[in-house]
Amino acid sequence: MGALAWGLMTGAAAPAASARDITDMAGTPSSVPDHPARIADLWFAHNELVLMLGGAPQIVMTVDRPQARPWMYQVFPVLYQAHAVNGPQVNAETLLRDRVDLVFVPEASATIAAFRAVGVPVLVSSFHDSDGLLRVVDMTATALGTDTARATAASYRAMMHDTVDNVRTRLADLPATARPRVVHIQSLHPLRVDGTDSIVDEWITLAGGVNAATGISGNMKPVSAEQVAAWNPDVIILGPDSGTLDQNADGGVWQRMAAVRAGRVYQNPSGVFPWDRYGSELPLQIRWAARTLHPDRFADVDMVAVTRDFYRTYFHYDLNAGDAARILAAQPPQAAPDGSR
Amino acid sequence: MRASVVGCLCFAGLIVVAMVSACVGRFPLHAGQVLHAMLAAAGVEPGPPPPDADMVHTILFGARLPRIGGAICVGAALSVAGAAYQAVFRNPLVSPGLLGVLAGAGTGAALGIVWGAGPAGVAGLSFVGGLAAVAFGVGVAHMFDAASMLMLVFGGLISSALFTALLSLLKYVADPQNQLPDIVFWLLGSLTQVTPRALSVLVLPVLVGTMLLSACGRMLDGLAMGDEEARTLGIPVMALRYGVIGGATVLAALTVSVAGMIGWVGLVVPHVARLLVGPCNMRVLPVSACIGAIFLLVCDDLARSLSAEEIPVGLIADLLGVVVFVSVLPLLRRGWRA
Amino acid sequence: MKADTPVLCLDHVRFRHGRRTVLHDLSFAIHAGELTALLGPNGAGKTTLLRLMLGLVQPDTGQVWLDGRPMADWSRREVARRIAYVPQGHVPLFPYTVRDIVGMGRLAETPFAPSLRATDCSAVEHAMAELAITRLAGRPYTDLSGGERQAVLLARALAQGARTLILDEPETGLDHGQKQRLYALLRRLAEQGHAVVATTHDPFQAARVFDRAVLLRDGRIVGDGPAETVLCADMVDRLYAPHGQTAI
Repeated sequence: MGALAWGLMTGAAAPAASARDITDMAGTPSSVPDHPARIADLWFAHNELVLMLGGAPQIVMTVDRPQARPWMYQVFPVLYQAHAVNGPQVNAETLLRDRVDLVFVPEASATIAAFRAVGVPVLVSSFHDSDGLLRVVDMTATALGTDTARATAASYRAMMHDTVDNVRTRLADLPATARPRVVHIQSLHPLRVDGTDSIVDEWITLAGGVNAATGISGNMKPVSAEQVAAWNPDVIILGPDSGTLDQNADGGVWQRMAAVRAGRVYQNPSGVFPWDRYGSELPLQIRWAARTLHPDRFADVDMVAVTRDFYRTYFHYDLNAGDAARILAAQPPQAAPDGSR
Repeated sequence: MRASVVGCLCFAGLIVVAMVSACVGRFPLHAGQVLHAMLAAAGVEPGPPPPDADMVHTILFGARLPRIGGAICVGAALSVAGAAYQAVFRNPLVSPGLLGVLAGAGTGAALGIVWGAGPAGVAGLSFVGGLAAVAFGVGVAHMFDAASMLMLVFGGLISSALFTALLSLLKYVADPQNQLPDIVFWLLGSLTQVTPRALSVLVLPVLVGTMLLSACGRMLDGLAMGDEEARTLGIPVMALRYGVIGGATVLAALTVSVAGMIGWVGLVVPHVARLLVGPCNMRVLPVSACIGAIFLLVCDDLARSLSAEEIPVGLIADLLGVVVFVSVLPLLRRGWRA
Repeated sequence: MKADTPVLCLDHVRFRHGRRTVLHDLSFAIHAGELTALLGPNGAGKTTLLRLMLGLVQPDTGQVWLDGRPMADWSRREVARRIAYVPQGHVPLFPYTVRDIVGMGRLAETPFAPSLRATDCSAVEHAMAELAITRLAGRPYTDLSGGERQAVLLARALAQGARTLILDEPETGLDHGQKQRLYALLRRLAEQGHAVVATTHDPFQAARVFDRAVLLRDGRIVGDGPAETVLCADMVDRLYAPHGQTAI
């Protein structure tokens, strides 16, 4: 009872007393303050969108931790002031105590009813493909309510379309047989791959490849090494955090695969967020993947320059060439000389 | 003797199922290729090697045989452990998890995953966790009454509850993006991580454990008559009870550390064995090992070939186990008296 | 035919259960070739006495001697080779066959042998023949009648090859003919040199069948001697007389 009263009070005491209705990805409208000042972002992938749209100082609660996302904290050190929590099942009273006035969650779950009951607006922000990503970016920009956010969202959308068009044009005359069969491995122990109905599938296809994981639908599905051998992909892409591929494992099954024999096993880049999984660095991922799968058609693309450009424009961060190379190699930032952070 | 014939048939059945399992998998191989590769490995060359002999050999010996070996060892170990527990506790409805070994091993594995220990570390911690849980349960029982079986069960209950709670705590603390799905997948039971090295660690203890426990078979029969009567027959009741519990627990903990939580096998298979060869434990234990191996082989064949996506074998073992149990239940009533 | 050295000897034995003293300063001996009946009202301490004689519990004071050595010095197996126990029949959970149950008697000799050796097999067959239950050999023990189960347990005790047999109320549930056969068997065993002790609730039969009777009341021996003498009507009445004014 006291919490409810407190919630009503803090709701009423928000800087902008007026609010607008925003419909989230689950189709539910919520009344969001004009300029939310204290945001809780409870989905790993969504934080990056808020950061890109200039909402970094407003984030007071996040599920992304510096140990897991070192680049995110390097590029946006203001996040250190936020309260890092473990998962989307946050206690509603914790939100009130931190005076949160907007929450982003990955999906509609039982807990969000509790959030709404104490008067905290909740926006479900899940997406599964690039189109969904763009809609969530727009929704987030509207929620943040600043001109910067809206301008950035519009610019991002245009840039995404341009990137896709550009890649498509260069691959327009690619015959179906020239499309390499790609398996994207999310983790090695246990062995998990991504199938159709995932954003991974989408960028593989956009980049001129074919997802070799036939029969698999969805993200992070466990398979046996034998199954991967049966697919016999031309290219293997190892997601960040998947571990190192021991080619002698499983009795040498990996060594027999076309991808391993041809040396076409690549580490997927990972920056503020893993490029391959539902982050706003998707345009970078598409260009990197296209260049990796078809180096002849994308020889002029300088990934270091492209990355630095993106980080300057959308993260307002001056990334030096060395750091860009580390990001492309999925390596964390170099530790500072005095060992801090 | 009828029972020996049945025992030999079971063993022969195991060989047959193992051979069929070698021919099953997501990589398209037919029986001829498999046979050729096996003969070649044994040093017999029936003809010129086919073009992809190398690939066949690799798939067979690198991907399939370790899993087949793993399924046999894990299925046998769980069944023997279950049969031994049922004999020691004089209760046919007891499973190896009674004293908490499964909950403890699960917690150990979760701890290993949260600490980022790597596959070997996880397996090791899982084994230690299983033994620790049983030691704890036995310790609790000793605090009250060292000789009472009821206290032993009570200790196991407490231990299971404690370690299940610790497991839940670890699940809460784990990183929801990477570690938690790993823990959940591991808990469902799967033979995907059975490497040839893990197999080599498993085979000897399972073999030795099965033999040792079977050797105690006749004494376990005597134990079925009751503690005091068993003593008058010359059976060292306390030593036998704790020795068998210790041996069965080690077997069960080993299986969990390699393959995660696989339930029902330890409960159902001894019943089937008793149905086939009667209640004498000298026969029930080894036959349980055979039947358990066959059962888990079939489950794992399904787990790794039904769909492109790996199905956790524990899931299939549970479903299939329930189906088998319920369909054989009317026959099983002959197996014991309520 | 009595031997001079006792096989089993209780020497000033006292046993307490919690704060209650169940057996007070008991002394008596069992000899080979002797057929002894143990009688007493319920609660007299007969069960405790049996458990002491079997070495299942230790006395608080005094000593139990088996074949000249303290009971505590013998291992379980060695005790089982010297003393066999025929309990009151109960039904185990699993359907062991009669041959399985009788075979358990050989556990003291060969606990680890996967199958019975020739000597074991012949002991089992001989025991079953002695009790005339060979025709039941393959039947599940759980399917038998009370009398048949009693015979199986007796055969198991014989198969154990022990010199001393201790039986707990062996005539329970037997019909008249079965009882007569039982007594004849016990008689035969005593004549062959076994020491046989049986608890019984039937003083009149006991007087006719047993050599010696030991009367136990309130944890004390109140009579010990030739059965016919000790089990006279007067002694029997006093043995089973109620304490105080209780009706039962």
